[in-house]
Amino acid sequence: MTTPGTAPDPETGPGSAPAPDPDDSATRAEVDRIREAFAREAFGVTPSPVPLAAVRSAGRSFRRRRTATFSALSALGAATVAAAVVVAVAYTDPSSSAPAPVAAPPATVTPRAPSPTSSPEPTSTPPRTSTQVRVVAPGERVDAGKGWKVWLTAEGKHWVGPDGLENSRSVIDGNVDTAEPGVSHQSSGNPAGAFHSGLYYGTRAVGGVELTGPGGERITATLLELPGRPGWGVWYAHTGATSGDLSVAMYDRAGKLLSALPG
Amino acid sequence: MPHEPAADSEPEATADDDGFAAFAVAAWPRLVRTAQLLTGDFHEAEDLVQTTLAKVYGRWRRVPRSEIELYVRRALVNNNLSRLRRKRVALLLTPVLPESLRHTHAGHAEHVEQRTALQEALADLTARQRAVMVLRYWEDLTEQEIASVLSCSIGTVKTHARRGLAALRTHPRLAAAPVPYAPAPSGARR
Repeated sequence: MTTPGTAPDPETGPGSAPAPDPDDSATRAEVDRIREAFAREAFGVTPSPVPLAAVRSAGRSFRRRRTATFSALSALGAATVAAAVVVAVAYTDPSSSAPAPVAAPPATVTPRAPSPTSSPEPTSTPPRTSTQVRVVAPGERVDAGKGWKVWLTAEGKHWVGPDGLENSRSVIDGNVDTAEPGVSHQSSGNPAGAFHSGLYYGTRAVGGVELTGPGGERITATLLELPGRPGWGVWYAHTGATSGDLSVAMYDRAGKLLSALPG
Repeated sequence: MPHEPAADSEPEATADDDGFAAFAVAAWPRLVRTAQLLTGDFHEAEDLVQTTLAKVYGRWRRVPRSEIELYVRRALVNNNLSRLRRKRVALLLTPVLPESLRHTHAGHAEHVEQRTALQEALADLTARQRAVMVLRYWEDLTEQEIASVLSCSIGTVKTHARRGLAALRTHPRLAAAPVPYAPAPSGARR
């Protein structure tokens, strides 16, 4: 997590320079006018009575789902570690004539115990190693697995799912401020699993994009960029069944958090 | 911001409440008002606050009491950003006039005109700019507090605030809306 007051990323460009006080350029009357407009809007509605029973019921369900998800992921994590140990032993056996191991799948799950003072913010724990960025040609369709394909053009990110419907997100339409580090997140899926992807931008030193589930499980995304280090790229990952919102965090190569979308 | 009583609710205390009911009853009105500014739609606002409080209730025993205000604000803003990601900002692209029956000043044409102008102006901001504007000019948080809520640097908050303020100041409908004489409302002060 970026702590307040963190020094700006030196590779983020002119947009990362300290900004002046936003009130400096506005007259006091203008600020008061805006404050009054906000208060008028806020007091223009009359809230209903608090639906306490519904809140309690939904809160208990949320707690049960979170506990169940964490338990399942803990079991999955233990099984993954055990399998990794077995594989490592097999590959370090000097008598083994097995071929070189195939590349690891793009998404890995690392279970992590929740903090006793856990909050909705993403973790500040950096990924253990930087993710290698795959450089692709403009328009080169990358097989992202499970029927999904992703490709990049100078305009931005494009992807298509098993249903054949194409989507895109532009980096040049003005909705993305590439002067500062940031990530976007789009997802599509069903109760069995989901495909997550997004843009990352505002840095030429990306070290990884990581998703964190409501139970603390972490998924490292695959990164794609166009040639020439354009300062932006695309990340994608698959997740299994999740019962809550995922947070997305982008780190630099030193493991410093550059930007996060809280879950 | 002042806590407002919500007399109609019935805080049915249970063993695991540990003060949650009292907190929820006191916080509900102000959270709904903040959510109204974040979403621009009254029903979305109440749904957002209900979801937020449910998640807070699910972790209530682990939330440090000294940080409850920060925790709930952060959860509210984060849940709104998640909601927008899921809906791909479709709702914010269409200014919605809140249900008139719930307006305390319903029927006052000039008042409604100003409120609609604000919602149009806010809908033109990015979700994070909007959150910074709401936290600064309605919740009256400092830049440091906003940075803590949004888990970002103070520089990022300043940038969002500068751009958001410039957009609101120059928005044609908001700039043109008449400003009636009125004392500064107490709801904008903590």
